[in-house]
Amino acid sequence: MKWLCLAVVIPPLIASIVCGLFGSRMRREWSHWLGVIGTIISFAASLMLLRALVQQEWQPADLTLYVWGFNPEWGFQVGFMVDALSVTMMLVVSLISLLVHIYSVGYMAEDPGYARFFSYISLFTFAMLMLVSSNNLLQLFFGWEGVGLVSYLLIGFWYTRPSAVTANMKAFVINRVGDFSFVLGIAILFSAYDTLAFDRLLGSAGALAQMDLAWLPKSASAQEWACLLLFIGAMAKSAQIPLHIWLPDSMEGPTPISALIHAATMVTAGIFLVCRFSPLFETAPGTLSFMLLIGASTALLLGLVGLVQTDIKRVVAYSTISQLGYMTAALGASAYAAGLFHLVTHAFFKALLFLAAGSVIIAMHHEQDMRQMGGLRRKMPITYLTCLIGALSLSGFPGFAGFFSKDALIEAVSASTVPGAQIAAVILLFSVFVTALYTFRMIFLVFHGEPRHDASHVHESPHVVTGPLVVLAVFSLCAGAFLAEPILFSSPMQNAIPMAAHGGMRHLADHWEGPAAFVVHGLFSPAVILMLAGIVTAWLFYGGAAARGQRLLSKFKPAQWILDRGWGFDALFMNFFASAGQKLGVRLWHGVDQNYIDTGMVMGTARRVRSMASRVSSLQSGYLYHYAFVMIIALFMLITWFGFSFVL
Amino acid sequence: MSSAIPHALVFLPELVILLMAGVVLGVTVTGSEPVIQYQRAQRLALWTTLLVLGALVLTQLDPAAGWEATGGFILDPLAVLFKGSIVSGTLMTIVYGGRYWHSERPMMPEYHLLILFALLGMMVMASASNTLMFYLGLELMSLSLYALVALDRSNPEATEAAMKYFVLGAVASGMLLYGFSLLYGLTGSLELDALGVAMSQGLNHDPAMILAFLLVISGLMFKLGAAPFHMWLPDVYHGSPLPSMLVIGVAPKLAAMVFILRLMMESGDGLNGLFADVAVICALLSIIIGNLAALMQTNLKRLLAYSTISHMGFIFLGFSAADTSGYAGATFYMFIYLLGFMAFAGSLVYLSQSCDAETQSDDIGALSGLYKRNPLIAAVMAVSLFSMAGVPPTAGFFAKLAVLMSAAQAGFLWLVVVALIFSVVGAYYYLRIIRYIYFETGEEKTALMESSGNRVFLGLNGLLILVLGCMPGLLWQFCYTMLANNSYL
Repeated sequence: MKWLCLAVVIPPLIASIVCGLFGSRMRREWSHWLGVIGTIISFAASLMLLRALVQQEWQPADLTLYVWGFNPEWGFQVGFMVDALSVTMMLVVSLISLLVHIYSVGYMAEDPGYARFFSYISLFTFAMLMLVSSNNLLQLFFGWEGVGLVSYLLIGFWYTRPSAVTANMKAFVINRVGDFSFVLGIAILFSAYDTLAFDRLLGSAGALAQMDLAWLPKSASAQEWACLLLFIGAMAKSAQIPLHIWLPDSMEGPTPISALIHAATMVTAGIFLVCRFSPLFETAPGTLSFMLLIGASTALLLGLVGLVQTDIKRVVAYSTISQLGYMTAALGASAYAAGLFHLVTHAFFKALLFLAAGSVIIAMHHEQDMRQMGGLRRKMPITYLTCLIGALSLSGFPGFAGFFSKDALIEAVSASTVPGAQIAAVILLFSVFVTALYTFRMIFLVFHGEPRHDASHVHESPHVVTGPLVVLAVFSLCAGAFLAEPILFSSPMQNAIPMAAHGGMRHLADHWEGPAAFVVHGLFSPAVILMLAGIVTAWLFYGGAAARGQRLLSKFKPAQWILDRGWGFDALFMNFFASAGQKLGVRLWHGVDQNYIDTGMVMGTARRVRSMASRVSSLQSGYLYHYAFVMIIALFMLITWFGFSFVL
Repeated sequence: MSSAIPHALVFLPELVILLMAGVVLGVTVTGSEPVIQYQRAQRLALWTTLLVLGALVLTQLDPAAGWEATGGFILDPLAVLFKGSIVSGTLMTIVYGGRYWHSERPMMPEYHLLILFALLGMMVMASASNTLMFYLGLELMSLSLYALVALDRSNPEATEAAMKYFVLGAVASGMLLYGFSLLYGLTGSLELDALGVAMSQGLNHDPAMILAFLLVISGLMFKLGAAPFHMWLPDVYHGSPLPSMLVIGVAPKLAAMVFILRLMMESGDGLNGLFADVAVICALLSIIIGNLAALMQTNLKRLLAYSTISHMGFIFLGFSAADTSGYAGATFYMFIYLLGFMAFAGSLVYLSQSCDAETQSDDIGALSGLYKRNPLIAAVMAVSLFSMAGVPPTAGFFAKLAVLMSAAQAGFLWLVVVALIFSVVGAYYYLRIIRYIYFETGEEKTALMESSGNRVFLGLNGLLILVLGCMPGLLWQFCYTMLANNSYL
């Protein structure tokens, strides 16, 4: 099993290194073949891990492969935790990564940075796999920073565009905020347990009770602090209010990247982290409620912002944030498995939507404004159909993958006993309407109506692009029905993510009668009705009679004004944090840095060290008798000193 | 005396050296041209070290065999561990230094002869279980080293350095001998294990015993080059020819260190407290003086000398813990230091092979732009410098960690803090060399074109530093068990 684990993570790393170092010297095709083969091996190895788990009746394994240091007590470990949770994540990551690799062959065909691109996404795959398969926090953090780094590099992939550089800087800075908090959380856990290995951090409830750190503020328990800090780290990575502002801007990167990193995998790392630490989070009720609040408000507020976007990728980006809000809310309601389930289905349909958007963008010659599109459904039938499947799945149309996960999620939240769960459930329910509305607004604007552009040379994308779309469409269609039981209720998953006491999942499990019954039951649920209402509303405004829609829209000017500005979060950060930070920085620079630190401490220390050094060197006179004298005196002083101190 | 090894086998490595030294001596007095003599001697010396390594393995073939002291000679795990490293160090010296003397410089066949005699002395020191035997080995080694420094007779600096080394070495030997004679007077025996008996009789509070111990330790500190007995080091390094610096650099320090360890183990708990206090003073002085003085140096050999002093300070930091993990840490540090020193100094020799006496320069500026001229050697130097500065993932990081950890556990937290601050100061001058190698543009000297084996060995040496940095656990465990299993600790 050790070798299998290595076979999952190492091939993308090799592909990345080879592409990165020799990419400019080898033939173009080699870069993508390397990447594709690397991820195929990863995916195959993940499948074999899954089989091994199933055959051994799901005995989870905790393997430490390598210790950097003198011994495990005093060293950093590299190891793998193979259980249902990590294998699920490995499969999702390697599958989506594989499809995105293939898709990129078509999407990036014209780009001069071809080898660099493949080197980056292989590196990303490696880091993400390290993150999800880790058996200790340090390695997880390594993967966490690794994916952050590659995300930064890829947002700024077209580094000659100023907007791309600004966007990647923004993503980097915001993620620093989260990472800082994450590191503090790790520090608390390490000082409480003296270890970062998962099995000992999460193993026994007894160890949890001992967690008592004198130096933490007493207003909350140590668990509460640790969980809160870890969650703030997850918030930045998973784009939750108010640390979400980097994600829409990250759309500056190439579209396959948006699909892989900013929709399907990296942004879900925060969700994964909380799932992994669910036993710990169970002991922190305050953090759970906080997660509910953050998740539900993110789901609703950022979904609303998605309504007014005109850039096709930004619509999908806001939708991603909103769906991540759903997952976070599920985590807050202690329905970790439901959050994970939504993560998996979301990975499929959101990657699909992004890739379909990418296909449209290729066809439109890198025009991303939806107002310039329209009527593409005849020109691009495959893209249209697959995109429609993705949209239906995202909206939660009965039978589609998204329906299962979203309905299960909402039901689990409403049945949860965590304080605030009822309100959150109502908000999430209303968000279903918003989701359907912005999704179908996009569909109608892009694919229906009359073309608002010169449509003569628009044509369907090549097979290398549509192939992944079709595969993902199949998953978006079917994954829900097949995966619902294994992920939500199977015993191996419950070994990895213990079923929480707060009732949400228990309620679901008690009422579960198979996927078919779930669909029938769901047909009359408020969620489906709201979803249908959303689609109809979208049709009214943007579909059938666009003119009437425009008239109606003009009555919502104030709402549009505030949504256009994304609730003012960007302005808040820029005008408050950034400018205040800048002012403070300038003051510190002139006042403290230049006057005290530079002249006083840095230069002063250097001067003092230098003068001491020259004094010490001047002792070395070169005269033999000086040297002999020093030796004799030194001996004399030693004898005097110790003679007195030991004899007396 | 119930040794299962025939006595001859215990002495086998030393016998091999003696025999081969005789052969080399024969080669150097017969034959026609110095060039041929030199090359023959070099080949023979190389084979000798390999044979000695083989002989060392032979002595270990029978694990059940005893290794008791017979006539002041002992072959315990400690001795084997250090002998192995001493021979390896000498092997590296011969490989790296061998090509330095060439037609442009006077070829001295006796260079290798002297190395072999020094090696014999060091081997005896590593196995000495009584003071007389140790002193014999020490003098054999020292006299050979003095001659090695003075080898280049045409160079007045070398002669001056040899003179200083000789006189100061004589003073140190005097201290050592005085200490030994006091020990003999106190215990009535030359054997080291008599010390333990004496300690148990309460002799450790006898002023004469303290005096004797301080004298002996001072003499050994001189050999190690630890402050305040370090004054000879910069001048001798500076004056001696590069390959001789390789010889003085590490192996003699290993030989002196093994006697310190043996002394501490034999004397049991009696002197540990005193030794720890001496070690604290020595560590503090060495780390401060070594790092501060190295800052001002632009001559690479002097810089290396001061850096050696600071490394000795770190080794005494390990001694200051005065327990198994501290001794193991110091040993571990010494081995890593051996690798780093050899890689760096070996690269210096390699770079000066192509130049004659006029163009050769030990100035730091001579390394400018080395990266462009010779990327491999530049990389090896960078790795060894990072290791000496203690930057992960090189082995030097773990060497520092080991001694700092044991010192901290022994309660010398303030000392650890001082050591850390000064290792930051030390990082400055190591990184400055790297800056010269990688970021300065030097005058265009052609890269060394000859494809000598040194390149490969230097590369492997650098690689070994990195490998040990990635998996330090093995060597650490080895050092620790070797020291823990020694019967006396």
